[in-house]
Formats: sequence, structure tokens, C-alpha cells
Amino acid sequence: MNPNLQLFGEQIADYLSGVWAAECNLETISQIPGGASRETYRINLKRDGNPCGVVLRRDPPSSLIDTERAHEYKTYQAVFKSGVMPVPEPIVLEEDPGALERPFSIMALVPTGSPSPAALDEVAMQAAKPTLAQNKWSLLGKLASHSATELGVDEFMDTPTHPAQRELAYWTGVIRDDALHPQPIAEAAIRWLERNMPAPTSHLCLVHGDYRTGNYLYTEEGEITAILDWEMAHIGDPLEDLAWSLDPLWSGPDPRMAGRLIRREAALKIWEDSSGLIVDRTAFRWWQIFASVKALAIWISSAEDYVNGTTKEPILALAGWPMMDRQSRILLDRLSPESTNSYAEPLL
Amino acid sequence: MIPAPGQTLADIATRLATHLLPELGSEYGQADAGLLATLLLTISQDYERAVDNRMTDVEEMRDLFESATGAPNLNALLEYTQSQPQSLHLRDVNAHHAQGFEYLIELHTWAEHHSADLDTEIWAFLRRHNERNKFDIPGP
Repeated sequence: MNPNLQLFGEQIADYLSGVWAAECNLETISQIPGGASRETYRINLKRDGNPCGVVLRRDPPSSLIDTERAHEYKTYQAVFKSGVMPVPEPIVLEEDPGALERPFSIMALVPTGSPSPAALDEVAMQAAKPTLAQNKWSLLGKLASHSATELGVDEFMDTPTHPAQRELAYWTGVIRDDALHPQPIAEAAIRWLERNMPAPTSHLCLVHGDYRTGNYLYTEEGEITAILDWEMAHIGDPLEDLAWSLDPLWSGPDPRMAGRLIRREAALKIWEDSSGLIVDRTAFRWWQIFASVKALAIWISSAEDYVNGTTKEPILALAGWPMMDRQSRILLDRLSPESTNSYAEPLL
Repeated sequence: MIPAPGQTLADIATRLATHLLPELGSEYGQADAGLLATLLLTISQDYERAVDNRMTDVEEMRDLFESATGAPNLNALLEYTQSQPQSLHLRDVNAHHAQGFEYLIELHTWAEHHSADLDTEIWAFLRRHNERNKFDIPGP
């Protein structure tokens, strides 16, 4: 084991000994790839002699999305308590940077499931895809069926009067503040969104904010064992998560597929059945365009972070090239008058 | 000198992915090396075409600006059509291209309300621009 990682793991074990008032000894520690917003570590311990797995997420010097760790942690607590979706059990939030140099949170390790988007295309997963799709959009529908008050998230999240307006203002600000080069496609999409703003929804709920392939753990049987990465969670319109989950960026090799699993219309039907809500197609079109603008904002912000920030994570630089290229293509396919819809099908 | 730096970058990316990556012990190390290989491949694709693509955009924007009869700020647009980047170094070409894009955004905003033909032409330009700068890289 990397000696620095070993030492870090022992510090975590010592810290947890204090939290649990128990003897904790490090067994193994490994860094989990893909944690663009936080450094993520899988740690196996012996707690008073019994096996115990945890996941630690530590603030990096620079991250893909500027978010508050306490906000994310409280969201995990609320969702875990409600049982509306499977999430890892939150154990501790440490905001004092003294313990491990930077603030961090610790959750229980979810022992089964993989987040890999690419593995969804493997032969072993083909039979389980319908079940997985059913679970994925049923869970999202279930989340939409609960009010923010029922989940208790309105105790620490703002309740917007006009979610679409608020989200657009925020992400437009990110694009204009962080773009390293003028963005005519993003600006055209923003103008379209401003012209076609939907009425405020009467159904406010907890929005995950990044509900997509790669942010949930699944098994080869198609079960979902955990929904992860709640750092962009907020109270808003449930159509926001639905549109984000269906964005062609997450489609994989076949752009007609929602999240590499099933056709978009089928996913939408599962969500409607589970949530008890009927999708307003006009509003949904708005959220589909918004999803691509928000994603573009994240890639733009990542590129800016790579250039001007302190972390030189390759994922941040990649966001600024092929990811922006793809997302722009999706917007062009959907908004330009003579689109051939070669990359993104027409809006649902 | 090797007169094909873009190809060399692509070769390094392949070497990293096929030789170094499998030798790395940790899952994190392998993922990081994979990202670096993809990043190098991305840069290799942009390296050769970057200046040419920006200058093609600039030429096509000139045509759009020259046809923008009635647009506000027309004098600035026409002045842009007569200008050149300070040099063919990428940073100077980028700066010149960025100025053109700023004007294009203004013009597009105006065209949406005043000239359906120009609006369509600008969208067509944006599609050509995007196609020129497309990356052949696996998606997320």
C-alpha cells in the first residue's frame, strides 16, 4: 500500500475511534476514481474487532462543482431518514480542517453495486437493463411524490417561488462568470429559455440535481443499492431531475437510449406511474433544454477551474473539450432550425 | 524535428493506455492514467486543426457580418471584417476569434427578432463550427 495512503488511513481510523468511542484499526484504504468534486476513499476497518467499511469524502483544493459539504451531508441525512431512496448512512461531518487537513464527511460503505456507466453496455447486464431502468425511474418518481416538507429538507434549503427562473439565473451566471471564450451556442439557448419560461410549478420537491448514470450503484440483477452525489440537491421542479436523467449526454453509444438503458418515452412512463404526476410536455421541453445548458455550465466552470484553479485534475480539462463539444452538439440538434437530429432526438 | 506533433501526442496517449496503464496497481491510478490518455488524445485532435478552424470561423463570420444590413453596431462588425489576428500564434488567433464571437452573439440576439434568414444562417454557421471542432472520443 502507498505509505502516504496508509498513514492517511490510520489517521482516519484514529479519528473514528474518537467518534465511536471504540477501537478502530485500519485494514485497507484505496482512493475511488471519479470523485471530481471531492476526493473519495474506501476504507475497511476493524471496529472493536468487527469488520466495518466506510467511505470518506474530503474537500479537494479545487473541485468540479462549488458546493457546500454541509448541505450535501444534511441532504443525505434527510433522505436516509425518510427511506425514500437507498443512500449510504451518513456517519459524521467534520468541518474543522484540523483533523485531516481539509473538511470531510464519512458514510457507511455500501457493500454491493457498481457505478460504472460503461459496464451497462456489457453482455452480463443486458438481461437486467429493464429491471434497472424500472428501478431507476421509479425511485426518481418516488422522490418526486414526496414534498420537500415531508422530507424535512426545507429546514436547510431555500424554497424558490419560481424554480425554473432561479435555476436559469444561477447557471447563466456560472456560464458568464467562468467562460474562457464567448459561448454563442449557450447564449442562444439561454435566450430561448428566457423566451419560453414555464409557469412556476405547484409541486415543489427535493431535486437530486445530478441524477444520472454514474451517480448510482447497481447490481447485475438490476437492483439499485445507493443513489450518490447529492451535492447539487435543492428544492425545485421534479421535471428538472427527469430531464437531466434523460439528457443524450448520458446515452452512451446509442443516442436514443435514456441512461444507456431504455427509450426515453418508456423511462418517462415509469416516472409518471411511480410519481403519480403527469408530465407537462411544454414545461418538460424547457427542462430538457435547461439540462443541456446546466451541463454546459458545469463543463465551462470545470475548464475555468482547470486553468485558474489549484488542482490539475485531468477530468476538469476533459470537461472543457469533448464534454463541451458534445453538449453543444445536443443543443444545436435541438434548437437550430435545420437540425438533422443526428445526435439528439427531437424534444419529447 | 518531427513535423507531426499532433500524431506524436496521439502516439503517447496510446502508449500510456496500452503499456503504462495496465502496469499500475491501484484502481485510482488506472483511472487517472486512462483520463490522462484521453486528454492527450483530445489535445492531439485539436492541435493540428486549431488555428485553421478558428480562421475558418473568422472567415465565415466575416460573411455573416457583411450581410447584416440594418444590424446595430454595424460599423464595428464591418471593422472586424477588415481586421486580422496579431499573429498566427494560437493565443492571438483565439483572441481575434473571441472578439468575433462576441459580435456574433450580439448579432444573433438581434437577428432572432429582426431577420429570420440571418438567424437561420447563424445557426447553420454554429453547426459548421461545431462539426469542425468535433472530438472523436468515447462519451461518459
